[in-house]
Amino acid sequence: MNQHTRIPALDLTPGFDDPQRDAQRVFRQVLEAMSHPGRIVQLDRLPEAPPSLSKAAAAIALTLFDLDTPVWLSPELRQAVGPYVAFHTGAALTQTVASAGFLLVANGRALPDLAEVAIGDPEYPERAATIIIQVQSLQLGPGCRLRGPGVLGHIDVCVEGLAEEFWTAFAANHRKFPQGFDVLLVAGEQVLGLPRSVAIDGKEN
Amino acid sequence: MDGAAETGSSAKALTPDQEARRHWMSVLAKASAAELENAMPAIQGIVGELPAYRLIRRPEVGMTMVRGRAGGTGRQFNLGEMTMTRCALQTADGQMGCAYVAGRSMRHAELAALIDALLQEPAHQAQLQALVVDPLARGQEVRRQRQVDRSAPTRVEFFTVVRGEDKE
Repeated sequence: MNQHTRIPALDLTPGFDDPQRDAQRVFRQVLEAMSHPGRIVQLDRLPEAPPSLSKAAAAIALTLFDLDTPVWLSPELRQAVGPYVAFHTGAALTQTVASAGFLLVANGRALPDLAEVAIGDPEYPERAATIIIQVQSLQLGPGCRLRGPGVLGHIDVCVEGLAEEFWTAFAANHRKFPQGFDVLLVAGEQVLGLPRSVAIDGKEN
Repeated sequence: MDGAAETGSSAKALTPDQEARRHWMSVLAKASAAELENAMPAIQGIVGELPAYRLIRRPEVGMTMVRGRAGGTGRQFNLGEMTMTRCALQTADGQMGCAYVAGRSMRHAELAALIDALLQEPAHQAQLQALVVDPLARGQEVRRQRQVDRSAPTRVEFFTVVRGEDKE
């Protein structure tokens, strides 16, 4: 390195290797996760992730965010991930939860106020937001019982690193159907979809 | 965006540094890929070995809408879309280089981005500017002038002669 002073360079993490194909593939996998709630989907063709973001979260951000989707980042992500999201996706970053089309939450134990998240209106329920939450791990097994479209009977998932109040908020969210937000839980390279149509059927520990 | 706030690009006026970078980015974009390729030995003579770099955004081809104004003053209209290629990279020294070039040459975009990054290194800037950018700019000016000279004789002016009938 040479000695002269300069403005610290903005360290940006590269995006997808092959932006079109990789994004299409991740989109297909997110669609699978959303149409089969409780199915833990392993993403492939993942990009390098910026610090404090998992690979799955980075891939989903690159795939879904674009110029028309205001994005809310949880405070700990704003500095590290804000320029990355802005550069690669062109999405506008917003500070208010209510105006966001997507919310990216670094830590499932520190959620924003979910009551403020956009749930769409009765004529346009698709104007609701999607929340991407990073958790520690996703497993099938005793924990939370899901029912609803896309689930045959019921399925039990065990999510580590997600605040307890999430499940009560999500149950309340489900009762507003067809309005309501959708959720993607991500851990490492995996994703689990929780669309608003999912009913939380008992929380056992 | 944070970057925009820092560099003050939200305001209209550019700093001299930004102005200079805008000029060389434009020259690099308007040069041909072959011209940049031919300039690489000269560049290596100035900076020594080229730094390692990684692609933040691989060269990718896309479209952009070109807008125009009739006569330079009329209302803005969409002239049409054109193909362009863009690239962003970061050198091992930490400099970010960007390029947006017309056409589909990925190599052109990558070289232009690399040279943009090298030009931001204060140690080499003056030399690169004098030995690489300025000659390219002069060549472009000569070509532009030739084009202007060739099209000027074909210019047609339209105007209406007032015949005085509208006066009572």
